[in-house]
Amino acid sequence: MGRNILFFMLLLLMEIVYIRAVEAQSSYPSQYSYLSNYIGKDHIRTLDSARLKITYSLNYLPDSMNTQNIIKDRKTLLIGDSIKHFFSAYVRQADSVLTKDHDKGKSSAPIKRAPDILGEGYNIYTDYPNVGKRRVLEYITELSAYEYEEDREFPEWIFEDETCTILEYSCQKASAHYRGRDWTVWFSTSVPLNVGPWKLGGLPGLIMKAYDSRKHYLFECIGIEQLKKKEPIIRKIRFHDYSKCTREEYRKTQAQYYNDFINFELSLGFNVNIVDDNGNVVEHLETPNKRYEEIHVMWGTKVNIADRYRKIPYNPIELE
Amino acid sequence: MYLYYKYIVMIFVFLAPFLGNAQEQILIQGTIIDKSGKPIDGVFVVLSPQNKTTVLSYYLSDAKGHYQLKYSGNVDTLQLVLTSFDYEKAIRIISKTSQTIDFSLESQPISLKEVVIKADPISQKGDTIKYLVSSYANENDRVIGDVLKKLPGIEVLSDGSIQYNGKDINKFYVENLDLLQGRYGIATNNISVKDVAAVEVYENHQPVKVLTETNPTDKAAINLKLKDSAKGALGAMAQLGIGGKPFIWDNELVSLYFAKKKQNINTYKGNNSGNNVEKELTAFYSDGTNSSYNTGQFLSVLSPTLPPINDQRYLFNDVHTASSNFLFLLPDDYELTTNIAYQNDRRTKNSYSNSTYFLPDKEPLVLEEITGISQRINKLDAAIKASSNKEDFYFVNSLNTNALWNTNKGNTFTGDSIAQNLKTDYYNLSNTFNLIKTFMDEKKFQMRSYNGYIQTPQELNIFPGMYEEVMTNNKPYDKLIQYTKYSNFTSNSSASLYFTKNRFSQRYSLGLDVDIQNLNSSLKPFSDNTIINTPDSLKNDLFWQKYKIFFTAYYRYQWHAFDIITELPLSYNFLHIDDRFPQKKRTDNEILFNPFISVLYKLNGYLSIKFSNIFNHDIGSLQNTYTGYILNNYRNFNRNDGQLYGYKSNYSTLTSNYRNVRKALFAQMALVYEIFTSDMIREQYFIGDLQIQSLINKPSITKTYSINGSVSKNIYALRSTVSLSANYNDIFSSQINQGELVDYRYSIYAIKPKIESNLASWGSLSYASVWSKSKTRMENQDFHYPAISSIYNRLSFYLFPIKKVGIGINYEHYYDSALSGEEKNMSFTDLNLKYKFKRIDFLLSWTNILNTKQYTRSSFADTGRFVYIYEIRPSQILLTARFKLF
Repeated sequence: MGRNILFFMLLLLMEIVYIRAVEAQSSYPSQYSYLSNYIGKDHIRTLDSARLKITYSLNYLPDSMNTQNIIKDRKTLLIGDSIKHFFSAYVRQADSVLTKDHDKGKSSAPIKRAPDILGEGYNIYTDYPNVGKRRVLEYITELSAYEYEEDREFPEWIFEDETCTILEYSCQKASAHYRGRDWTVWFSTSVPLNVGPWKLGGLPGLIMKAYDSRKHYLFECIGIEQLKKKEPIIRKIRFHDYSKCTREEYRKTQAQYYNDFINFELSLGFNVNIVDDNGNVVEHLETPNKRYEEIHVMWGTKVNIADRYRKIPYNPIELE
Repeated sequence: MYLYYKYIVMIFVFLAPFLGNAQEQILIQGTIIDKSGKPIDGVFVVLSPQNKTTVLSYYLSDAKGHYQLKYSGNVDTLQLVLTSFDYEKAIRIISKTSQTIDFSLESQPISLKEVVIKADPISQKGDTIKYLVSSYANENDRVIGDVLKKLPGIEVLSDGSIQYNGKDINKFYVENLDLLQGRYGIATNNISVKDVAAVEVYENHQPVKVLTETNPTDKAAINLKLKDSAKGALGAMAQLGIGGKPFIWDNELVSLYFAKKKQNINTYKGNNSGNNVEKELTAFYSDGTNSSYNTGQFLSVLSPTLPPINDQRYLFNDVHTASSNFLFLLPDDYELTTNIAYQNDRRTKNSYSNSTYFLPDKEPLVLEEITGISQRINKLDAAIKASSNKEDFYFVNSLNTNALWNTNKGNTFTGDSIAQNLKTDYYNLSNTFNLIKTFMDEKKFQMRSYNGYIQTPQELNIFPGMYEEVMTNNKPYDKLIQYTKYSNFTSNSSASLYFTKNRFSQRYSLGLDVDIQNLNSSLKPFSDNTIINTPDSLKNDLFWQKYKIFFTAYYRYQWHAFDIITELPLSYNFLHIDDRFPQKKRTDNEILFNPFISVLYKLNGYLSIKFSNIFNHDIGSLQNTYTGYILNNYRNFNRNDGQLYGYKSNYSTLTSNYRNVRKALFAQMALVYEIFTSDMIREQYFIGDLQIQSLINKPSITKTYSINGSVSKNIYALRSTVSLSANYNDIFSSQINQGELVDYRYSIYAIKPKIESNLASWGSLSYASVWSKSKTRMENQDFHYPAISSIYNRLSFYLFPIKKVGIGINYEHYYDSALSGEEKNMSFTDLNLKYKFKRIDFLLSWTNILNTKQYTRSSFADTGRFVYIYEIRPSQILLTARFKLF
């Protein structure tokens, strides 16, 4: 019986973390790592169905000090009857591949991508659970997921006279200071939707292009598709022990992780092994949080000794 | 319905206070209803200046259909624009006064201009790089081979073989199946551009799935991803072509079929227009299954090496080729392929050569020859292969046979006329078996066996009798017949065990190689059909038997970004040579150890560096052991002193590879150092015009230094692929010339820029150039020939003024510094006209418009300098019609 429970818990854990793609010594903060989950019927909830799909490319700098390291993501914005869902198309693709393989009974190898492609894990549901509200799912590590709700607060846009054409749509310029960055956007009144990439919106037309003044984040619309077959807007329900919090609490936790990620891992219930270049353990740090040990799962993180006291640089899109 | 109020006010009136005329704020409001009178929410009401799209203020109508806009700017004539997803668009011009305007809208769902996400021209997923064919093809491209050469990182060499980032590819797939078994020219020259969706490169491709983890490769494979429309349907193309002058023809018939479980390509191609269609039947895989037709050929009709120009310019042919290739997927993941290729050709070649041999302390020996050759070639290849390639099981058995029947009739004029008739046959039959099976998870067992037999009989007749002082003690005679027959049986068998644990793999192999060779030769002078004199020194009957028992340990260790591989083969070699002329037997035993190591370091996802070193020690070959004279061609004798000359070589390379798919930038560089030591040296001795080559017991060293690199980049803005490659080779060697040791150094460098550009929808451009310089320098000689510089330029334009018409202009220019007068600069011009009439593509090609009659080149080889003049095909016009049969 005991063995069965252990086995079950192991299975559950395996399901949660299919891929720990980015090891702690890597230069990318792990919030950007792939979170490949099984998204079969029982593991998701359908919130709405979409009739329009907007696709954006995103170029971003995970580390503002390292301006050479530009990372790419592709974002999908699904427009439902009431809910708008914004998420990484690459993460979704990885989930779908895994799900298909799993349903066929195959073991699924992670999709290997170019080194400059990395999907961000977050999901933004605008006008959910009610119109005027926004629900955000965030990840810091694969096993620490956060969920917060906020008012759908649009930036105070300043319209400018400049116009340009993006993908044959004529666009007008607008700018605003929002969440710590000075944003410039180009929107088109030909698409009567007050939405855009990320949390940007509140203009009399779709935002086709958006970037902050330092160009750390650049979204560009690359596809507009009216869906002949409606696509469900889903959220994952089974995997993450989503910690309910406020936006401010989430931002604080995120900062803690990057400032002292070893203690953060320990607090999550992971043992941390400090290893030298040859992989030999030089220091073993025991977690005070026994939540995994209680279910007889040993879950450890290896950290190179060079990174023992290193802060991980990060450059979140929201600076305030 | 939740109501929300959010309006954005334009900030604009910085100047207003200065004008002392603050703008009055106006309020525009109203209600929006549909035709049935129900209020509509979610309609954007945008206030703009008249006839402009600039937004001054906007409001999203609420649940009661109400809107209200405030405006205090200085624009006098305004417009209200109402847009929404489900209702018609409404525009109303208004004056700048506060007012109430109600709207009644007709239901009319909006239709957006759809934007299809453009796939990147190149994209990467792990080790797979995908080139979108539509991004690189233009109107002029007919078959996929035309597009392949434009892709950054991919190079198609003049023989048709394909390289990726400087290295030969190891597999060519169509829909992930290897139908052609290395004869991939059949695919690149016949599969239409329109049928291919993408070209995929699989980097570091290990074709044997079982070995993916243990035996990595740095070679890449290419896969053609077909469009759905090209799958499952039989397609056939025909071409008819005639032209002049003289009368020329060029016909083709090709059928293609690609389905899930079956693939088939059949081709017939024939022409006398100089089109080298047999080139596409060449097998390029270097996995040992393709034996070389040259094996065992000792005799030849002397003719200059082929000129380095487009072979269509000098090929006087009359060729028929046919091939048939089948692939079947059988149950249980087995695959069966059959491949047959046949070539029948009559060729003529006319050339002039001027050979200068530098002799120590003497005037150089200069030989002038005018040669005319007519060749008949018959060639047949057939193979059948069954295989299974699974994650835990690999099996292959393939049976190959190759046959060749050639006759060469040559006439050389050196002042006297010398006729040479050569008949060459070649037969090869071989079987390859390979089995790998996984057991107990990480362990693997492999058995392989290769057995092959080759026979090459050759006969060279030379009229009239020559070299009487050497051959017949100055007695005149009619003709000379050199006969050789070479046969070879090879058997290689081995069994291996693989162990893999974490990042450490091991392989241990035990095997036996058997190599039995026989050379039979005789040189007979005839007078009135009777043999005059055949001393044993003009005969060979040599049996060569070599048995090798070997044990090889192979280790691979991956540590961080390092990947280290070492192979330690230890062998015991037993050799028995039975030379019947003179009666001489010898036996040798030797233990050989030829270690190999490679270290790969991946700096990041783009850049990797690899060092490898291979040491090779061998005990000699039959070709260096026979002692009887063989007359290789009418003026070259070859013999050895009967000693067994082994060699040692050490080959080191340092290569670095860079590829950044996002920037479409590919680059590679390689440094090579090879040292070759041997106990023998080559001797060259002239008696009059007769060249005698032999091997002499004296240690010699040959050193080769080379560096090569290439960069290619796709410039999206210019729709162009630009590439540059360069190489430098320096060889230090020595030979004995007329009894004296000569150390010589041969250096060559070449720079090759290339541009392929799809300028616009109405035209494209292609430019290629080669600048090279070579030099031979002999130590302790006062006399040096100046270096030879040569420049080659090719510029082609293709214009498509309207969809049905294409015009191609091609210009080639050759410059050679060693030549003089008109020959220094040579050029060729060609013109093509394409016209599409209904389903027929007409092509009118006018080649060699300037009617250049000959091509001249100069080159250095070893200690000689050679000038060759080749006859070139005259100006000709060919009209072809190409159409799809079904």
